[in-house]
Amino acid sequence: MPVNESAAAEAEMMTEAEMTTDGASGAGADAGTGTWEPRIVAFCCNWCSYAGADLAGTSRKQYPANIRIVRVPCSGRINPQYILRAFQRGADGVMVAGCHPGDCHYTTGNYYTRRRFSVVQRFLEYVGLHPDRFSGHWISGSEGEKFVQTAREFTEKVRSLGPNEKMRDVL
Amino acid sequence: MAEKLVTSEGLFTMVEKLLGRAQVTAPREENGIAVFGPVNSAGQVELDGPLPVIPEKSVVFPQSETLLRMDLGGEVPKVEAVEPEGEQVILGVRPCGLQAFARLDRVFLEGAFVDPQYRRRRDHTLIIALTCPTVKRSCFCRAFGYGPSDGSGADLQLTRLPGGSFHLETLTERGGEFVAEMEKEGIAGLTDAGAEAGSAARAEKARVERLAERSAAAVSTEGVVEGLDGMYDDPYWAQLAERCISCGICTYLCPTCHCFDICEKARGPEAERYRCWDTCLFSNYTLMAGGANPRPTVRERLRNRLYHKLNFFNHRYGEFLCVGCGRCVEHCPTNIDIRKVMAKAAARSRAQGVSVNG
Amino acid sequence: MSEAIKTAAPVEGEPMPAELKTAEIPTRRGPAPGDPEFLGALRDCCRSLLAEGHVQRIIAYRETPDSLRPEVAFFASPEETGDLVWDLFCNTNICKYLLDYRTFEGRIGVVVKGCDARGVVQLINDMQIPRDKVEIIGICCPGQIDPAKVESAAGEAWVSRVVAGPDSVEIVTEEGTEMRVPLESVLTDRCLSCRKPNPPVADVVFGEDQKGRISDEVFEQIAELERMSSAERDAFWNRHFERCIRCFACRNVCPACSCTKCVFDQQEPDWLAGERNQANQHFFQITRAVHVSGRCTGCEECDRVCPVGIPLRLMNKKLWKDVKDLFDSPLPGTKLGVRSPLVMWDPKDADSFE
Ligand code: SF4
Ligand code: SF4
Ligand code: SF4
Ligand code: SF4
Ligand code: SF4
Ligand code: FES
Repeated sequence: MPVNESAAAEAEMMTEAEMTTDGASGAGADAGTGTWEPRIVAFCCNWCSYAGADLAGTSRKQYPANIRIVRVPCSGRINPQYILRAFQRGADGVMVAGCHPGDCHYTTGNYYTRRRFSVVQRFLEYVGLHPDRFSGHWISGSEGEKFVQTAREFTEKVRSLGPNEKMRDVL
Repeated sequence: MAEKLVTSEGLFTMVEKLLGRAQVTAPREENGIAVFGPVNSAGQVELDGPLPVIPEKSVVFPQSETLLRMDLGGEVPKVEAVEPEGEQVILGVRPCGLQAFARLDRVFLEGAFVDPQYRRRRDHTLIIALTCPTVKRSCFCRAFGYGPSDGSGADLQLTRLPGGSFHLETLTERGGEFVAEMEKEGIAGLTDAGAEAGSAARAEKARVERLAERSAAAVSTEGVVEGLDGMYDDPYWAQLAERCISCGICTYLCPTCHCFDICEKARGPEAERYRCWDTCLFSNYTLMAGGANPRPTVRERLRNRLYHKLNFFNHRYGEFLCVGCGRCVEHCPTNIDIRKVMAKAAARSRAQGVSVNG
Repeated sequence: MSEAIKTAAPVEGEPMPAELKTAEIPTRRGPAPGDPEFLGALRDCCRSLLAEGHVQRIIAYRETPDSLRPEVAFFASPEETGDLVWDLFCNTNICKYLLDYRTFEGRIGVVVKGCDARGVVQLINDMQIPRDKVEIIGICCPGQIDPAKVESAAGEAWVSRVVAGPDSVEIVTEEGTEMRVPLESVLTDRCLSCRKPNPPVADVVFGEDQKGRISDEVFEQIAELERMSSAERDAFWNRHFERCIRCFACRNVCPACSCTKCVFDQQEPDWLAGERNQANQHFFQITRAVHVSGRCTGCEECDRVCPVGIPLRLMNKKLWKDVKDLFDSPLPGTKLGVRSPLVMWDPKDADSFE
């Protein structure tokens, strides 16, 4: 599937199937063990943070299984609706990650991202979402370590908040 | 039937008692707007306000409701019908709301298919009507042959008396049972209405009927159906549609509009089928697979709504689907006024009459 | 206001035609509303625009028997302009009707207040309609009256007409009784805090510049919300969103909502499901607000039409406040040739990413 065509579909599939069936990772409201694990959706740019996550994987650095990555062609492709949809379908936290400013594969995509999400972030907070449930990061393809670090910290923050109920639309 | 007198404190206590055993819907104020909505304390009930914007219908026909629950995970899919649960009370229904329930009953309950959700909700809803304390300029109930004191269709009817107490009439057996139950509970302030309270209630009803009389002079149903019969292709609809923004206000606020959509939602192997309000003013309403749309523009959509209210329903059920509550008149952002449509149709029928007769 | 961003950032897409880049200060001025000559002059102006072929259509208002509710009307010939009206009940923002004329061959005149004119400019800036297709007939607006407020002031009596003075209005009822109430008590909510009652761009203007009414109430309410805890804000918005009937009137009147296919009407994927639950209500409200941010002209037409009183201004103005804070751009619709700050960027932008 060409990546730019499939971003929305991938987000949709991720949230519908993986989020609700709890995937293989064991995250989510785990009925079996009674322990709750946060579900986190990370929208990652194909050229940087996704590669960063990949690098973390190949160099055997562990990032929490709570993170479900949705690959997008550029952070500029991330529509605020994706964030809302992730929360609707059960995410407890959502992360947006792109190339460092100046390094966007498409030159300027992440500059738009930065403007858009600085507004959206404040607004989500304003309508009553806890500010720690949404965050944005710049992570390059060589920053496997930063990806792992960010993922861990974010997971811990969300864990301490407990399950998100706001906007949740599960059965 | 029986007539009681209840102080406003007595009514307050009655509502508090009801809250424990039923879902109570009543007029309440939200951000300066009167709406019918669920209340969870008697203090929220606001009976003296204007006609609530959100209509009564949501009690028997909610904005969305689940019809089926499905589990598609197993070898054999499991499908189970969802029945609405519990008892409901709707308090403060205006006469136009009662008329609207009667119209909805015909749609959902008459004929071969009886809508089970609606049936269940209707059977488990106690209706306490309210004689309109005020009559707005947009009200035109009198054009449809009833008025602001007409409690037909309710189980009980409240009338606010000048002193602040309420006159409470029982109109059905179910209403009688309710009052008996309340009396058994010993509600302070609930007593038999004496002759004085009875005549005060009649005077109040006469007063609001006089107020409504003003609109009767301005709006008439005479010739409306006949006029519309010959107006389907009139350029008038395009003129009206030019300024209609094709929103959902007139239909969603209308106490008799009853169109719905049926949708499904699936989360993994589990799924639900629900229905939710829909409106003929939205372009998606008649959009078909493949992209064809038999009502492609606002002209056809707006015309459909007005015909449904003033003509189609009459041909099928012999009465108007508009009950004259005035909500669409008051809230249309572009001042499209169904009363003017009625006047236009009446004028057309008069003109036709002249040409036929000579 | 500084326009540093506009010049610092390379603007992508079609360049604005050079002649649109300066604000237009009209030289032709007509009498002000309230002046006995006003209505005649306005009608003459519209009539001659049509008669001389400068415009082929005029979007304005027409008198109706209910004097509190004039209708939006579309005038195609000079003869029709006899019942064209403009008074303090012309609440409807007519700018959005321009979109019905996207493919119309000919020019369209619009009779606009300050807030409507911003909508027209925004539609031009969003490339929905070319500037030279629109004749902007602006009116410096003394503030509009809310018919519902007049009716409730009159109580049980039916209002027959309202005579507006500079500070008070006289309400005459059908029974012939008269009462005088302060103008401010019957003005629409949006007019009570309107800072920009004068059309920023126009081809002809009626009246001298109005001061407007400077009220910080909305921004104070926003600040109060910002001081609340997440949980309190959550409860606040849940309470309001719950009431939304999803009539989409707020979208349909909005000059910043100009997509030909709205995401809320899309069926595959069905971004906004029909089910009325808080998740979907939030999805609708947040998406609408965010989507117009940076282009919302603050006309508050959405607030006016919302039948259930959702305080949309508390979202729109919050977003505007943040956009202005972060990117320092002028209020949308106040200048020709300005692009939305959210479709531009600057390498020096504030960075909330980590
Ligand atoms: S059509 Fe209008 S006046 Fe008639 S019942 Fe519906 S909302 Fe009320
Ligand atoms: S239309 Fe008639 S019944 Fe309905 S609120 Fe108005 S006066 Fe009452
Ligand atoms: S409320 Fe008015 S503008 Fe909206 S769809 Fe109905 S007639 Fe059209
Ligand atoms: S969002 Fe509301 S205030 Fe902003 S431009 Fe649209 S209609 Fe006007
Ligand atoms: S106008 Fe009000 S009720 Fe209608 S969709 Fe907008 S916010 Fe909801
Ligand atoms: S390519 Fe990574 S943010 Fe644009």
